[in-house]
Amino acid sequence: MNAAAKTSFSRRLSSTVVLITSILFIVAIGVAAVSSHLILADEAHKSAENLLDATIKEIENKLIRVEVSVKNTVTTVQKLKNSPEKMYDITQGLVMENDEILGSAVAFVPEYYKGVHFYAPYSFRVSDGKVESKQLGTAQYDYFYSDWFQIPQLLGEPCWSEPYFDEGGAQEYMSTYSYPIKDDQGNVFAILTADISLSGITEFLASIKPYPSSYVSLISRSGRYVNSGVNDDLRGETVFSTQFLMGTKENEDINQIAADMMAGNKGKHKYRVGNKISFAVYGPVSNGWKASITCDYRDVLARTSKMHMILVLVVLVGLLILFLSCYSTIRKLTKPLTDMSESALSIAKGNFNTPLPDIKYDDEIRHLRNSFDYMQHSLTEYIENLKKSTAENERFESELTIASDIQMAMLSSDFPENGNLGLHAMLKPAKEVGGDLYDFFLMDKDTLYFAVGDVSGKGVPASMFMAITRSAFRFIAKTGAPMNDVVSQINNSLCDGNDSQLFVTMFVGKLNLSTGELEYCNAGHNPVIVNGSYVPVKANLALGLMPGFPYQLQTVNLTAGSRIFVYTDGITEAERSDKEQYGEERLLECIRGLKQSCSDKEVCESVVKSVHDFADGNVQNDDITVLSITLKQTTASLA
Amino acid sequence: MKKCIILLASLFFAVDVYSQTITFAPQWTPQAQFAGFYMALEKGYYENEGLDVKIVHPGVNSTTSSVRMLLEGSAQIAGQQLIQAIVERSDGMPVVNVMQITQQSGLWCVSRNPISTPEEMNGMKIGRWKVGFSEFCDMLESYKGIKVNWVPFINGINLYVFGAVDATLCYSYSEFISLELAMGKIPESNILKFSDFGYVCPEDGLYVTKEYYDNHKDIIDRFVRASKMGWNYVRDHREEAVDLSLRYCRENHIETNRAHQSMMLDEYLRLQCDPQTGRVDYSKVAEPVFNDIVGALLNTGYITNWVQYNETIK
Repeated sequence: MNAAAKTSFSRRLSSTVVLITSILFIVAIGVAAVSSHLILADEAHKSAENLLDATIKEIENKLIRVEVSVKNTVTTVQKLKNSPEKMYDITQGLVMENDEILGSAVAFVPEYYKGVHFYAPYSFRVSDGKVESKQLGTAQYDYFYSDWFQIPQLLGEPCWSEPYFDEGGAQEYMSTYSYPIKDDQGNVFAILTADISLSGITEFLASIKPYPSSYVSLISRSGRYVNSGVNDDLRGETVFSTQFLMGTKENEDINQIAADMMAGNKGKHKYRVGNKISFAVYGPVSNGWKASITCDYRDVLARTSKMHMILVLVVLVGLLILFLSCYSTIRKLTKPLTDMSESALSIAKGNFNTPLPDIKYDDEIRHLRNSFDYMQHSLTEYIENLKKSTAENERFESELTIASDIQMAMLSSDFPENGNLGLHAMLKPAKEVGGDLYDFFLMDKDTLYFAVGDVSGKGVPASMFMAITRSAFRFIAKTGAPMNDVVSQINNSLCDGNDSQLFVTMFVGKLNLSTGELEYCNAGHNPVIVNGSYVPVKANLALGLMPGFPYQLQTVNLTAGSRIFVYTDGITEAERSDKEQYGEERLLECIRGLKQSCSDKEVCESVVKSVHDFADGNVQNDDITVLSITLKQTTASLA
Repeated sequence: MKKCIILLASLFFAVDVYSQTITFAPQWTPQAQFAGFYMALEKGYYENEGLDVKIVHPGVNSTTSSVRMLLEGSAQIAGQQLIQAIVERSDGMPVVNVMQITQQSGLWCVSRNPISTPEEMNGMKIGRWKVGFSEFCDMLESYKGIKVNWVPFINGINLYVFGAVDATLCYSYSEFISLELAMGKIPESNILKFSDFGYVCPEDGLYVTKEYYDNHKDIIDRFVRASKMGWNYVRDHREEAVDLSLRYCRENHIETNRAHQSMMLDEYLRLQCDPQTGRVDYSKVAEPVFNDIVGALLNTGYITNWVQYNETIK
């Protein structure tokens, strides 16, 4: 039962349907997943790029407000450059005017005011909101070599300093905007500065979180993190040193991002750390810093990943339901087939009257059932007919066997063998009964009559005709008439009432054993071989075709030791599979190859074997008859 | 009774031995360049030698240098470069080299454009340290017949990063690493290594005053022995040494990062190897090398008095 269930049509078909459906679902879900992921990733890239642009704009706006304030003050410094004490007022005014500026200095080059090496009035905001001022340059603080002074002085253009931690003051990261002020000759004589806190920018950047684990980074000119979107551990780190920290020194993608970003390029790049794949969008800020937003693809694709999981679960449940419903439906639909299979099995066992199941619906299965029903009736009828015909065939075969036995019995098998004469003959019919014949008898001790014939056609009609011919020969030859007369009379006898239009070729001979004279008449038969050569024969006409035909007699004298070999065309026309015939040449060759001492039986067997070997298993199409006679000695030879 | 006297005597000497307090002043702010000394202190190698060592770094913006601390007596042992020591000796300052740490020069010039010979520095605006190292610059200009527009800086790499100079002098274990960590890989074609052009001056060493050397030779020997043990330990435990260096940086509010300290340590340990043998044995500066440097400084007029090898290198 289990074995049957395992191989049931219903299960196989259901499994196939579910398998195909599963493949289609997998492909569909896969394509949908990849497509949705690509679309989402593309949207995330664009969204991050837009967000980055907006972030950079916001940072630049904050920086520009300070830059504008400083630039607006530059003219005042130039105007009042000869009033050094006014510089305190100028820096105080700048700090008070712009809330974002925490401190401002006008630092002059050495000895700008004669005898004064350092001159750098500095105003700064204190805790209660007031602004205080002091002289910045001292012997301990040689500001000429500070970045905020030296770099704009060398470049001759304003710049933002690297972020620095204001340990003594605000205890936070700061940056200084430095503007080189030039005299009429274009020489830098002072640097006007504005210090700002970076906390506002870092807090703003920390608030930007397009995805849960995404972060924004602001990188200074020297690659340092102005803010750390990840954690404070990045203090002092650069875009290149963090790879050392993360163990990703050899990560080409991260190196590429860092290098590209530090080159001031705008771009987008994907990278992998362990199993985590992320992307970063980055671009330059107007003051030479760089901003980037980094997002984890898992965050980006989280929503669709969850949706795909639900989809996969739904599909799995759906496939299970599909399998069960398919199995149930197919099993129901194929139930009649199962019943019919059982009926067919019963019919096969011989129960031809086994009833077939009724089919409710007029569909293919009912057509099959009707066809089966028709086949069942036809089969029953056929079996009945077969039984009859088999019985008839059996009877016919029995009769045919009897006919064959009778035919074989008609053939002389008592071959004379004495000092004068040797004789042997063989007949191998192609079918149960044949149309060939041979016969011989001794009229007296010196006279041997013999004949070999071949009736046209085969089977029972030919065998009947052969029997008539043989009887006619034996009857007429015993009258002692010459051989041509004997043949003529047989011919006339056969022509009489030959409605079947059968005919027979025949060689008839009378051998005088004392003289060696052979008297013979050939009626359309193959020529005979005497002592390994064909003897001349007149063609004449086969028997049974034309009554009164004048057959001609021929004679030849044989000497002691002569051998006569008579055969039918079943020998020379025996075919191989390639349709080549045995032929007269091969026959002559075979005969000539035999020793003189061979007995006639050996001669007959050798020739038949040669033909058999030649045919090489090919079906025998015609009756084969051979007759060998050896005239061992004559009276004359004795004398 | 006899045993008690021996025990008391031992205790007396032990107390005497452990009462030796020494201040060591490295030539710069905390970093992995001094990891061997940090490690010797951390692992108790100084203590095992009966020394109570304090490591005091000079400030970044202060005018105090390690040698000044030595001469003022606020430090007994100081780190500095050989060429500076020769100049100081010539000027009459009694400094004595008691240990040569590095055996090769790590002085390089990094240019914004490809550079292949020192002669190409002619006319370029090149950053260099404001304090110290001017001896080399003068010698270079004198020997090569070039004129460089030197731009002094106090610290760091920002002049180069901002494009305010065409090139900058740097040490392979310090500023060069800062540059690469700031800007990414610097092409080899943009680096001029002065050791490739015959500048074979060994650099960092330990120095004491002649007076201290004459009176406390045993303490110096113990300090040097323990310091070598510290460096040997560092060579086999680099990560631990980097951790320790970072700790010193944090304690002194030096902003740095692990990559910088790790790369610095690797390069500094390389410079400690003998360029010929590749081995580390802290061997003394060879007399011919020493005399060559003194001769070069005399020729350029940087010093006016010959400095004796035997009086300087101990």
